[in-house]
Amino acid sequence: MKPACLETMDRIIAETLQLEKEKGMTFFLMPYAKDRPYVAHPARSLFLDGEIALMLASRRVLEEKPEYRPLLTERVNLIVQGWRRSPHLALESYPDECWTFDHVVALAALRTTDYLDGTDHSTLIRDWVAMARKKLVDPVSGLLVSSYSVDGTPQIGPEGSSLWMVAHALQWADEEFARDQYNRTRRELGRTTLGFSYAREWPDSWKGPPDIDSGPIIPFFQISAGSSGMAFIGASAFGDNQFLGSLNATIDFAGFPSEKRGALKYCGSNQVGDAALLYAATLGPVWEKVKTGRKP
Amino acid sequence: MNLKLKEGLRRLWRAEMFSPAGFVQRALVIGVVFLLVHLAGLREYTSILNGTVGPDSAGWAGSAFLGMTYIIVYLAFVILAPMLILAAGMLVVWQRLLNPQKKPV
Repeated sequence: MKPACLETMDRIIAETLQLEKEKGMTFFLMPYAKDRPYVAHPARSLFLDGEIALMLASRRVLEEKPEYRPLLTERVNLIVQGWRRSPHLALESYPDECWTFDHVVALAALRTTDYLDGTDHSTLIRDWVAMARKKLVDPVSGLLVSSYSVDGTPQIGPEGSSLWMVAHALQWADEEFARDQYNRTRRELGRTTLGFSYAREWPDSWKGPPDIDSGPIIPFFQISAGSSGMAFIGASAFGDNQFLGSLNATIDFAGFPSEKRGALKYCGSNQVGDAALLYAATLGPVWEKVKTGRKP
Repeated sequence: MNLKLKEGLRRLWRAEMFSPAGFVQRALVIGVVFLLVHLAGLREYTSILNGTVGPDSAGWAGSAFLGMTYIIVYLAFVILAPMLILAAGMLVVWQRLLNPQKKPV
């Protein structure tokens, strides 16, 4: 199993890096990334840097691959330099759009790099969490907002398709804050009807439209496919087995599972959704290693 | 097909709507329709639930139609058909209790 997983990870990493090199970072971004210039120069997207760094780091935790070390160091240095230049510790994913999701993924990458290479980014991680507690928490729900501008002004409020993963990735940075965010997200967005659980995209206190992340929102129940899929990650990461079990009941009933040649997919989902479900089913060992601080 | 089975199917087909046989008949029709849409591969089009078009070049409108058709028939199969079967059983018991001599239809 492990060789097959390593081979898959290497193939995805190689393809991602190749596409980034050949077509540039906007290849992975939505078209509106080209509509106006980035505030920071040179333009970089934390969406790409953070996720690639975490991909490289996670692969190295599973099994060291020396050629990935300089690639990870370079990517982490770019993130750290960007953060040090930003007075509000806000790096853009899209022009003047800084995503909380991408910041916490980058924090997880930094923490994993510290575990792998003996570096120390704890001060930066602590500073970012302090800034987030102060500026990025929605005063009504207590949930982290989804996006903000480079001057730290919140743009889009708390949304489910982001928050479940945000709470999980925050475990790398501040477990208490992460648990608090999960509990609030669970209370504000998690719902169970007749044993079937699902998640809303927006809390009652914030009105927002359906978007590419939420998927279509089913009226009345306010069910968001995006938020419900990501809820698996939150429930799994925080050991909320009751919620996880009833989310599973929902996806078995309404996710339209299809099993072919030993491979399971959910027709009601898409590749991103299936990846989120796979991650929810397998997450834990990497985080446990990083948390306990054992060197590989 | 033997005559007894043929006769049974004919009675089922002609059964009144609000009778045990009528309920079973409708449950069977739902089951057959579900089997057809399932075998036709319409399950793949339920990807519309997350805003993604289905396989091949059905387009958004085509995917939405096929996906919604599958979802409606699926819900009828997993929710309505069992209720009809249960209702048929309850009605048989009820009719037998009311009139033990008469064979329920």
